[in-house]
Amino acid sequence: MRELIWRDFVLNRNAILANLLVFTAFLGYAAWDEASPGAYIFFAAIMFSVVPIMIVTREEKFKAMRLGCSLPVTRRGVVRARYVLSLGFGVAGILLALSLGAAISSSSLDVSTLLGPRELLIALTLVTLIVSLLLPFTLRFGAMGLIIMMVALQVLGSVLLIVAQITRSSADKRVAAAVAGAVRSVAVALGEPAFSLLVLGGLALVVAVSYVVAVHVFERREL
Amino acid sequence: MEPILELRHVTKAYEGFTLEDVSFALPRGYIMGLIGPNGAGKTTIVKSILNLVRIDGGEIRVAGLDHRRDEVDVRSRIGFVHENPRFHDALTVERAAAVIAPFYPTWDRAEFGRLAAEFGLPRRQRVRTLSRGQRTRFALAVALAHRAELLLLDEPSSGLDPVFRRELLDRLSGVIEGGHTSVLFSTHITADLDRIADYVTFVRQGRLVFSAAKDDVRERWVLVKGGTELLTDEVRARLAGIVVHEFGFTALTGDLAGLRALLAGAQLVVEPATLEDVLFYTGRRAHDDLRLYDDRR
Repeated sequence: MRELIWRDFVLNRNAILANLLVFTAFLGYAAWDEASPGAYIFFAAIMFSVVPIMIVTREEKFKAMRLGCSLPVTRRGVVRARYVLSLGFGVAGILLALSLGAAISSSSLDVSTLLGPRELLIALTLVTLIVSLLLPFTLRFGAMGLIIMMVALQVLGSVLLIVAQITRSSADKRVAAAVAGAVRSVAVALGEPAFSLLVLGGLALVVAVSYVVAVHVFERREL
Repeated sequence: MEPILELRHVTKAYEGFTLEDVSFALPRGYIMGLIGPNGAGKTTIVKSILNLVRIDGGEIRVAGLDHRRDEVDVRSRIGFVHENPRFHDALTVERAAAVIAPFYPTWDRAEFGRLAAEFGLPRRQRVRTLSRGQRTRFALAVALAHRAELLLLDEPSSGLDPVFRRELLDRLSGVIEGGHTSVLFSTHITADLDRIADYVTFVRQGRLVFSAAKDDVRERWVLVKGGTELLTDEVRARLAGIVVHEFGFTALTGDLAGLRALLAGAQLVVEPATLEDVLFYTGRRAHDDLRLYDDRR
């Protein structure tokens, strides 16, 4: 696995560096511009989670996946390396964002706010969900699959919005409020430490399910 | 001795194409040419061996190991040279090799250096600036530097200039000399087979037509020519790929003795068949004469 991760770094060095520069500049500006801690963490998590997805799509673009999979590695090994890399990038991105937020003197993002369990948990949830949702699709269908899925989600969102507008239904808001209420009730009932553990367990389960699906679909992909 | 490569009843179905019940074996230390027209299934066979495509049925063994169960071990024994070798274009030759090296426990850095020098590969040049021939040389150097037991080459000579094509074939002849390495290369150029192959496997429309030692193929098949009045059903049954022209027929037979016994006294011209003849005539469907003249006149 180490060799696979190292290979991804070497092969995508310039692209990764370019992304890091852009993201750092963006986060620096957001911190200086006094963004809300939630929004700040939200964007950091999203930006850094998609870097490994970019690595997979670049491999696809340069038609190097066949070469990669003809090396003495299993497909399962390739998928495992991609998950470790993706989650690693996500977590590293959050740490970088926190450091930036804390380091920029004019920032309103003080360390205690950024390091609050709620913010960290939200960031980790975002990273996990993005990686778990996008990676199996990208590994199986490549860049085109990813684009199709994003477009499909956009279309679905637009259709739901239009339906909600036309029918003047507030079902979406009621569902969202009910879910948030349920989460809050569980959090209150369990207390913060137990709730955090429960969320972490849930995230681990999501990653595990996504990984099993990714291995299953990638092993069946014809190269 | 166990063959380096063995395919048993391999099947693979795509929409509009099926590789059907393909079986052959390559003994260690020999070169096998996998030949067939475009779309015959050559690349599917090569990819199946590497498990880049999943076979639907049958079994593939490399050095006695199952190509799926022992995937990593099998791949570490294989050197793969693709039709259009693609590496990571932005890296230099040296860097690209360094990225691949850690995957192979048997990688020999000194050997790669020696091969790069021998093949005239500019080690500090970026891969994207290499010519097609240089890329193939690079892929071959990578395959040989990890001491592959089986070299798989998918159409390595197509698109290459004649000078480098010949050089590549000579190099392939050279790599099997120690007996450690065997070669399976797919091609649709019969001259390549004439030059270096010890065994020939011919596939057509996803089916195996034959797999045999090249010398056996040459000895077995001959071209026969005669008048069309000789083409009875019994005679036809002993012929492959009959071509009918204005003054008679030409066909291939693997049963000259039987044909002579059947046509005792008849005028029959017999000529040795080239490998190209064998592929041309056996590749045609039985009882489907190719008419090279207009018989409506």
